[in-house]
Amino acid sequence: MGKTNNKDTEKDTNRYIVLLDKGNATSLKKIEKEFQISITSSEDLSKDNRSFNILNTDNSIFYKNLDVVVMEDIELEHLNHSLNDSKSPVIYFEKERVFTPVNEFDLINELKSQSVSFQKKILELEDLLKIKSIPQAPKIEMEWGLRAIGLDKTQYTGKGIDICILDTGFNITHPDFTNRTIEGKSFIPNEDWDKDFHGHGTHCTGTAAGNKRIDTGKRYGVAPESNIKIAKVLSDTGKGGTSSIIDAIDWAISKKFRIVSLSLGSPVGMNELPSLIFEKVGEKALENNCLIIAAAGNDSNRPSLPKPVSCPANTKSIIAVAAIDEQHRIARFSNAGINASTGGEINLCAPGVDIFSSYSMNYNKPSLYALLNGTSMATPHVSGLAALYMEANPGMNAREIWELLEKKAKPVANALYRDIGKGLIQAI
Amino acid sequence: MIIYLGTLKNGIKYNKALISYLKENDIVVLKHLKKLQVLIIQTEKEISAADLQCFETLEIEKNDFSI
Repeated sequence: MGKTNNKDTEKDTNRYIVLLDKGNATSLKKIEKEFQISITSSEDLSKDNRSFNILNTDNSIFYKNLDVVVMEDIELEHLNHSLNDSKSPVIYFEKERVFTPVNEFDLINELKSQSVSFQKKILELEDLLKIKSIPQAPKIEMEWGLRAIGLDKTQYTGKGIDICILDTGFNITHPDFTNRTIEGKSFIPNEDWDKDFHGHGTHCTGTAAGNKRIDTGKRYGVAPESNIKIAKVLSDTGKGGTSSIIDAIDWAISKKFRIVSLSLGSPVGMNELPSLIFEKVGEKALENNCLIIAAAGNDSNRPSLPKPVSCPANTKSIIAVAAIDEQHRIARFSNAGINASTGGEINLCAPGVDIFSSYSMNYNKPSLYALLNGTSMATPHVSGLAALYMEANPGMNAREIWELLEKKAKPVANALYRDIGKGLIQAI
Repeated sequence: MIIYLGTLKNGIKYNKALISYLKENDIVVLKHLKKLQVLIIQTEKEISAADLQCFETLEIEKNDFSI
């Protein structure tokens, strides 16, 4: 059996608290006469003579200091009559209230339930305001690499930031880029920057600074409102030399471009020292507020011991980028920071397997789009994201952007530092 | 012919005097990269930064960069 809920009976004691105009002997006699009761003064109460022992239909208690008489089982009508009678000493009455001890936990629970309901209301209101104030953009489908770096949660687009892609050129006739203003320069004799007979440069440019497919609307570019700058430093066969690359970096710095993206490299042997010239070039670029981002290289064949980071990514003044796949595993081919004694660490990792982007119609792949693998594909993800960071933090210099990219990168489960550096880049 | 890339030491200006100095050492300047303070030079013999007073670093051109 459960306890009987006697709350209602507890509330109703059938006693009345009656306030007298004057608690003198005359008034008390009037009350005794009027209600046919006997009144005991509270002064006469004691341990052995408590109020609840006295109070009944015939006996009431008078609290002298308060001018109050407590009566029991009195007719309500009778009290109302006295109240309205100007000669009666009764000036106010009310039914006795029952005060129960407060249970602190009941009170806390009550407050909790109230706060939950309050929070729900706030959230409802917040949702309503969001819907009202911000036009809901249609949800844009995007490539896995873009989702992996959190582009589905950012408002930034790299607007106004110059990204310079040093590569095989760019297919300027690509339909996804018809509304873009693109500047470029070739550092390869007799080959134009605005053609890409290889396709690699167009792919990297699409990832870093493209937007979405004109036919399906699926987005593949990281920084769609950035300014595209092309430097052709690799020939149509995909090869190039130091002087073309450094010449192009000098051009990019003189044009005040903020980001230089190098999806290229030259293999490095175990314990081979980094290039001093690229070290100086990287430092000069940073001094000029320009961030150079380079591919770590694809010489590895895991699970065998990976190869060291390629040149120029192995220099301390240039960001080295490794590649991961959709399951966030290090890519089989991705080089690692294993030349610990001579430097050449990985700084960050980014999507670099099955990367969909724009391409150049050529005899190898007669298509406007291609799925490619490589640290070359990971690098433009970082370059594009750096543009978003620069847009979001206009007061920050290139070194600070680099630090922020590393700070915001997220760890990759079961991955080694030598393979992924500070982790997978994340949008802000 | 061998192509080198050299970074100029701090305080070394690219001017006629420097070009003459390099010419005396059978070195031809192909290009001066102003922002980087790099000279792309050409010579028939092997050289190092220690042989010349003007370069902080000197590296031979590599042609094995690829995608």
